[in-house]
Amino acid sequence: MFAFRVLFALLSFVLSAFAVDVTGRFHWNDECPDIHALGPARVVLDAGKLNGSVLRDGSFSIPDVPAGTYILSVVSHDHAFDHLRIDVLESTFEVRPYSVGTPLNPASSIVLPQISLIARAKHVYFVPVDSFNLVAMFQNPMMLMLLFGGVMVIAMPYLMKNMDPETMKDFKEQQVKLSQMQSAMASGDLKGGFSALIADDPPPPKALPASPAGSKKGNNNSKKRR
Amino acid sequence: MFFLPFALLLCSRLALAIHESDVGIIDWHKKLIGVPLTAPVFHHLAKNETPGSLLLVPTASNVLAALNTTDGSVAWRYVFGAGDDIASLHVEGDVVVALSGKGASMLRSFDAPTGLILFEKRLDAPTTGPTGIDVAFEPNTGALFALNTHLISRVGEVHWTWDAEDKTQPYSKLVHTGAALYAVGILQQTASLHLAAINPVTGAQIHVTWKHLPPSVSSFVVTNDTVIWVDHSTEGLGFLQLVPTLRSNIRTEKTQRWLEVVDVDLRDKGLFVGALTNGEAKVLRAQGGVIEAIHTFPANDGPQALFAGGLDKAGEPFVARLWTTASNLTAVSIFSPGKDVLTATFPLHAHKHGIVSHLALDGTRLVITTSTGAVQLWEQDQLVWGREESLATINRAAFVELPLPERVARVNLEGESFVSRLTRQIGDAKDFPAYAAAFAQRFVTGAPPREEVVVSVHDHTASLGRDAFGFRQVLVTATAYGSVFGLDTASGVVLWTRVLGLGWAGEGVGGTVKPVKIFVVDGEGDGKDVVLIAQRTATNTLVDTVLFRIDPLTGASVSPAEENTERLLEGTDVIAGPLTEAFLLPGSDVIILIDEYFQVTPYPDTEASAALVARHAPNLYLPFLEKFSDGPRVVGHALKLDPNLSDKYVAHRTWGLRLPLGATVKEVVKPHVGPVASLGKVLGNRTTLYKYLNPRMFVVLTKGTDAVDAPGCGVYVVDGAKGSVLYSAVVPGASTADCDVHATLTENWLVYHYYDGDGTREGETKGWRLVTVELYEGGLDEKTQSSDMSAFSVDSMQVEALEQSYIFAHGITAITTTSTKFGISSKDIIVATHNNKIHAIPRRMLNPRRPKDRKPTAEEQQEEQLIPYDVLIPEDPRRTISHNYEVAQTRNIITSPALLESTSLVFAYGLDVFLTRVAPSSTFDILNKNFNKAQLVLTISGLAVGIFIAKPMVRRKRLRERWYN
Repeated sequence: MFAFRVLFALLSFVLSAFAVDVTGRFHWNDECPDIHALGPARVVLDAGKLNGSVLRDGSFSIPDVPAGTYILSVVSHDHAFDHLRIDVLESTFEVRPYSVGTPLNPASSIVLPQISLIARAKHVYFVPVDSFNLVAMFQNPMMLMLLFGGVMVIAMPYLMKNMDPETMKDFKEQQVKLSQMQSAMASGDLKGGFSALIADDPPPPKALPASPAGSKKGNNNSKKRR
Repeated sequence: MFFLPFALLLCSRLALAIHESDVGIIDWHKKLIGVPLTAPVFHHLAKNETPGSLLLVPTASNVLAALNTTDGSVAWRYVFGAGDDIASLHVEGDVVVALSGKGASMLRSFDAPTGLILFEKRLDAPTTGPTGIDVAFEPNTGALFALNTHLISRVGEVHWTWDAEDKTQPYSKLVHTGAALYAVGILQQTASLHLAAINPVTGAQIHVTWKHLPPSVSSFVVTNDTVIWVDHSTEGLGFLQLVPTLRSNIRTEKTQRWLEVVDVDLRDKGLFVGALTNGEAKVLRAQGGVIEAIHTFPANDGPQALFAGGLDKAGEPFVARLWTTASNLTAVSIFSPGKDVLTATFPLHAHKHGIVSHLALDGTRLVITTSTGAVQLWEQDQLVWGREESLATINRAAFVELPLPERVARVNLEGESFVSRLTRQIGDAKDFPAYAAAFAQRFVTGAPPREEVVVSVHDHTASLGRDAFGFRQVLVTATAYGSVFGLDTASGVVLWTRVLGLGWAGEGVGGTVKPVKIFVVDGEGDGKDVVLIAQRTATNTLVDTVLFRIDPLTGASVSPAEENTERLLEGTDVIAGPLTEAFLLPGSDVIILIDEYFQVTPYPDTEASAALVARHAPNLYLPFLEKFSDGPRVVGHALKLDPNLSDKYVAHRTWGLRLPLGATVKEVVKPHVGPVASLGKVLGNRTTLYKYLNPRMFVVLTKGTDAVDAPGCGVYVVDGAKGSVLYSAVVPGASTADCDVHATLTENWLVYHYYDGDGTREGETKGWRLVTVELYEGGLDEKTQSSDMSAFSVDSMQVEALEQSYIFAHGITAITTTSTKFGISSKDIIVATHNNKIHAIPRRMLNPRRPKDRKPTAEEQQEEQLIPYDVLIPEDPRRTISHNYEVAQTRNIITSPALLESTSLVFAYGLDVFLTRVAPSSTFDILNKNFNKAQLVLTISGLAVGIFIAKPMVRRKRLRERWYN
């Protein structure tokens, strides 16, 4: 019986010798200004069997942690915290930074002086409702193109009317070139289309007489109307 | 590295994210505390704090909670962890002290108004299990003394621990008088009262002694400085005054015949209650070694009496007695020294709430807790608020679709005469103005009618009818306290409450009813019925299986039919003995119940169902858990009828699942059954992987033992017809005997979650893992038509598993998949995490074909929406479907399809209950609520204006062309 007691006492001594209280503290910042903002939170080692609650003064303590390597994390509803690697030695513990998904070993060479937990982010669960915004709607490129097109449809005849005859001629020629390129593109003759565009002189194909004639008609029309 | 998840977040789709305006409209949440373990304690907040008072209570769900007395809402709560069971609660001033954990050695002190923890301290644990726990407070210093069996610790600026020399003396009460600290305990075996007097400052022992007591004394009350007990053999009252020398003598009072003494928690005032054998009760005061009666409650006119005491805000003591009158009302009389006795009666419905189990008092306000877990505050005969805390103990729940509204359902076009059609149409037409108005409103404002899309708080007295999208269903939940609730999924309102009756055991025997299975079957006409199978354990240890068939709309029993729901719900005894397993026969409404001798009893007990069982019997394979001496095992059974032995079919063993030595079955996970929309998965290169769709598959989770070479935790996918293992994996647990593995299986998709604590080697890491497995019939374009194959086909063993493992940041307590009406929408995984959230993980994240070390090709991205493999599943708060709600200790999550293919209802229950809607592939079949109607209208009107302007111009131009052409 006595031997048993001695053994028990020794055992409890051994256990107490290799168990350490892991203690640390929360530091408040804008993401999490105080203990009320944090809400009920727990600091856990590994899967959570060893844990400690956060006290009113922002400190916590995980009692009787046996020697070993652990990952410390914070179980909090609304805030994200860094994870830490804790190496519990015989009478003390070491703290190293750790990020989830990276190998635990080899250990980081950075040793932090103490466990200091700072909220990295406050979870935002909601997306804002996209409310209807008239300005934003008209800033949309599609909308701008549409508007531009609409304006051009109305304004084009007046622009044409007020154009200098010389510029008008140039413009017409450019248009002819473009239309040629387009038709060439459509018929698959890429080269021809490009050469039509690049060439300085208007090539003499049959398309040419048709459209100047049309445009002359237009000019005549306007003159006649006056 | 930390920002990687957030970078990923930005890339992920926001299909599931909810808007703040949806809170409380698409979801509801009930924050619960659990069924109170003891009488709640009223606590008046100090004057400088917000006025009001709190109700502090420890509960069976391992929660310490504070309720606001004005409305019954939860002011704060502290949820104790697993293995940290709350043992006792003590309140003094603004400090709440709780002892918990193994040996009740964890002492936590809470700030009463806020619930914040002031300090947390591990005290010395007794060598034996804790038998007596008490806390005494030292006035003015803030120090406290904690008694735990034979240890007394002082916690404060000065810390000491006193340990009794003789560890067999279990002290159970601690009293602090100005002179000394006394520990008092009773040991009935030796008929002795043990006393110890200790110096409260130094912890030095002043004196320890024991006194003889009559052997019939089993309990005592300590008040002020007096120990009082009743000697049941002589019906006398004995008492002893505590003095530091412990030399005072036992005195007795024998002028009255005493039954018992009751502590009413008025220790400082010296008040307690002594009940007499004639039914009277006396309020007694002990002071200076003298006991005097200050009030006598007359004898009750009914059974059951509870006593409680309390101080009102001014510090005046009150003592109340509560009993049930002969006319089944609950009566209470409240006495306060120097005031008139106040008596009130109020109706407490026994068929809804059972009987009163605890009583607390604050002036004239009463709080009662009942045997079915209700907590109610009564102001004389007015109910101020009530809470149904048994909802924290739901163990079975089922969604029930509502029938079509009567108006639609009753139309019987054939055989309808002209007159009746006319009257029906006129009747229907009366709704037309409302319909037209709603239509016009909808057209103009674009707001959908509330009834249809927005499910919100309805008037629940209105008749229950199906809404257009099937979001409104009835959730039938059965709790461990033998109560059944019908909840409206739209609002969370309790539609009806029933308490399961005890049948024959109700008449004088007593017992408990525990629901074990719930099925939804077709009822009469269009409706559905809920079949609840429960196990009744009578106090005489007889176990029976009872079946309740309930109408989900009213809670009334369908068979036996009942009209009056104002009584206990009585079922039918189907098996005289415990139930082993129950199954719903596929494609029918017949339930087969298997008793402890493996005999099969069909329900309903009709010839048709017997014939159905006979027809199905040759092809029926029933795998279920069987208890053996070394633990449960999964055993497969077939049915056989031997007329010589029994007139019932008997299940006989056909196979047993062979597990590694030392492994035992922890859980059997049944697959989610739903329609399968596609038999294969088309890959980016236009080849197909055919899904392995064996309808008999289920998952077995096993655990190892503490032995060194014991196997880890196992995950097995087993074919139920012949017990062959289709997929198996051995995963590490947090420790070998503690396997925290959760799994869910749907179609050919298995997802499981576990903790890998082994990863300490180079390049590895510890953490939670989520593994996704898909079973296919073979390689590319290979198919065996597994969905229609016989269980004994050679090809049924041809399975190809694709799997991938991920790191998940959180531990989980429950996992399931969403379910939709046709199974076309993709399935999300819904998990309940340790940080009290319900989280959805999109299917895309868990695709086991996510390519590693390369980018998915354009075809793969387009066809399969593949994304490159990343070991970490990003934590996206926008996929937290429970958002701000704290959904604590979720035990299970169930899902149900709505009428809309895109949407699935999700119900999570545990300590809290939570319901929401999710749309895994976004709501493709309904116009988005944010659909920009204004833009549409503006665009159309813009075009109309354009036409209006351009039309005359074009006309002019054409006219001109005619003229001048």
